[in-house]
Amino acid sequence: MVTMGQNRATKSDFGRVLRRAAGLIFASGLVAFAVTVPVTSPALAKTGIVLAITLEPPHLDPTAGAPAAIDEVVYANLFEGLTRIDAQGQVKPGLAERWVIEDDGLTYRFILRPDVTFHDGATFDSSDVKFSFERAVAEGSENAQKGLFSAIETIETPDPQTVVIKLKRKEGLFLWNLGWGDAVIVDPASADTNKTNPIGTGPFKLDSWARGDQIRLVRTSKYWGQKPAIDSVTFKIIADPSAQVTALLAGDVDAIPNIGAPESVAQFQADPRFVVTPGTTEGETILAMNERRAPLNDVRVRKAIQHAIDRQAIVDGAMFGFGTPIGSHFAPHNPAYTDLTSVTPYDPEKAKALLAEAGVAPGTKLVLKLPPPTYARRGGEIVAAQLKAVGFEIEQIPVDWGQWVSEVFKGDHDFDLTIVSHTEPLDIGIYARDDYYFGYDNPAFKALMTKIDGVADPAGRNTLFKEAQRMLADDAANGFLFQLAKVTVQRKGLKGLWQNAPIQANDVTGVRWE
Amino acid sequence: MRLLLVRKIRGSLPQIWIGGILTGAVLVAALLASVWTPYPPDQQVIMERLQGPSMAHWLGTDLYGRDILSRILGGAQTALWVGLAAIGVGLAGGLPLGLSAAMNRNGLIDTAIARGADLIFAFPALLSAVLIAAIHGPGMVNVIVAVGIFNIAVFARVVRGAALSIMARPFLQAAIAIGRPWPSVAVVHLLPNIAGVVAVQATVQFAAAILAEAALSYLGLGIKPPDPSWGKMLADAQTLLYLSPLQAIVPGLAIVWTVLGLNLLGDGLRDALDPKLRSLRAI
Repeated sequence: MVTMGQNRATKSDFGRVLRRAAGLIFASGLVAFAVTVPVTSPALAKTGIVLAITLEPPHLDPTAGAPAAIDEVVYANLFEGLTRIDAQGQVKPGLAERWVIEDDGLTYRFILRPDVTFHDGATFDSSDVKFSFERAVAEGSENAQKGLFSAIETIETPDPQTVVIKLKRKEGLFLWNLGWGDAVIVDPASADTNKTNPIGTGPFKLDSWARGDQIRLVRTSKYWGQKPAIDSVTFKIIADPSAQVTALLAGDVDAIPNIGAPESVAQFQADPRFVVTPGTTEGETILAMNERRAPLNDVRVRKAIQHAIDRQAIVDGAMFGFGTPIGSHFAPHNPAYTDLTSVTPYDPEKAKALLAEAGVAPGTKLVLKLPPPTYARRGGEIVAAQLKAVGFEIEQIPVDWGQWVSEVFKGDHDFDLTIVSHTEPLDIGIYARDDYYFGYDNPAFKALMTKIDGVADPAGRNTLFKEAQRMLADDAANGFLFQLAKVTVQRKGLKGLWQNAPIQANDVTGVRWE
Repeated sequence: MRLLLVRKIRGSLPQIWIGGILTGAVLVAALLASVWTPYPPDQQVIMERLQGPSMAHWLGTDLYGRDILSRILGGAQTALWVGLAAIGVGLAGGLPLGLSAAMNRNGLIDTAIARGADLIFAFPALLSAVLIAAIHGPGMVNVIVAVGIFNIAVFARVVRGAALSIMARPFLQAAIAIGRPWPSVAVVHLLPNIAGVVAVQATVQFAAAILAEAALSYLGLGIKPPDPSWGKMLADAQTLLYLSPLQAIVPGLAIVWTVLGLNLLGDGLRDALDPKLRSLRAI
């Protein structure tokens, strides 16, 4: 009885509750409307910017680790090298004001900028350059790109403003190499603690790092060059692509330099509060094949896999059309690029024929390990379906980056296939490395790479680079999918972010609000 | 005994019928999916992706141009498999454990089983499932094991409690007194009398298992792609909400439908089988 009475009371209340709810919804709609309007007006004069980044760097020393996330925070903002790579991918003077290359092409004389200090007050001079480069190649060095310095014979410091570097061999890319994040100049006193307390010469210094949340850099009062227009930059770590979108819509971040959810681009394009800038990266996205294992050690099988893949379908399906199909390991915007997608075009019938010829039975199982980024997880789903169509059985295993590094990249290389984007610039040389993770081993290619190192003249180098690209395509060294795009979405009025990513960086020194 | 159960259910609450129909529909969908789906659930046609409902695709297509209806049906199969298997594991382990605990009341076996169950309950179920998935990798079997282990503890407790209350009854005391062996007493007298309670618990655990599968798959620790799973569909739909809300709504509704059905069924069964509640309603 008691229960029934209560029920009746609830029922009679129901109408009132409904009306109240309707009123509330209406009122909240009004509030939402009222809140959205001022956002579009330039009421708030912003002095800093907040960028959303997908991956948190493990530490902040670009000279002691490969992760792109490190450079994407500190490059040009916090640390500087003798040269720097600008937004167009050109080599520009950095801490070296100018340089002279002697006629032999082996001696580089760098004149350093005066009055440069590190964030802790230490003075920058030629001894720091010598220290930094020697440290990078020293025994036990954690530098991920020791190859950048491999041509160096000796480093001399005749006076504090001069560095003379002698090379063992001609190195056409030497000045470019010195512009990498891995070649930035550090101070002997602070070098060992740069991972947690980075001390550089850049216009920004570390303010705070809340692990798992954000890294904040603030403008230094004393900088040798032009003072940046913004006084702080906050890198907010948001791994989830949809959360990035929400954060930008809510105004928690000002820009996503490389949006993880390409499907949300259309939504931002339609929204006058935001500006969408499609650009390119140095990321060759590949279906890497473990060539230590059968049947992938057979070039016919690798070619069959490449023939089975419809690159454009992957670009459309996984990246919503953002990306350029590639036929070898080279960036399409590079002058030395040659389009080799026609060497192994999409042709499932040919793939089946090649597999039959190689004696690969239908139903052969391959393990496809997929790291977290959208291009890999979604690309993997499509690649798996395309390979299934020619008779493979694909087991997709999603892995996190830590697992990927320990299982695929290092250790026993326990994988058949994986999808990953190689975002280092001009990195075709990885195919000449001994025992690299995909296990490509071709003495002719190694010889070609050595030959390229000795050629300084750009035209000659380009010819050889084209030859190298063709060699990889003919060998189907890996499955070449597409060049990763970089789509920047930013709040209107924010200017100066890089459109392309010629090097791993989020250089905010030229960013300003308008 | 069985007749009594049927009579109790027949004369009872509407939620049993509603729940039964909802659950039955999922069952039919899963059975259907094992023999037929409109399209193979993993067939991609990239050119036809993210379409709305049409004659060719009743519920539209997903990001990879796969038929959503086919994946929902396939997902029903996945969900039911995980649910049934997790219940199976739970019953297979929990029933004998619970019965032996009841018969060894406050003895060594009883204490050991009770503490074991406490240990398992001490970890949130989903957390231990994530732990197992993290160690052994994602996959349907690991989801079943993870949810199943938790179910063993659940059923052991429920069975023990129910069995103890029955063991105090005279007919059972009589059976023991005339010297029937323990296994025989358990099978002939105990089991039929606790079947109702166990059935109710099973529907609840069934729903929980389906939710756990969805949650684990949503986190990328459950069903491996490209096998269809409602939770995975939800996860994939997350960034597509603005573009194609259907991607999230359809699997979301499927989960709500199934869990609601099972919970209604379970609630109804409990009310119908619980003598205390029945007498309350009669007042």
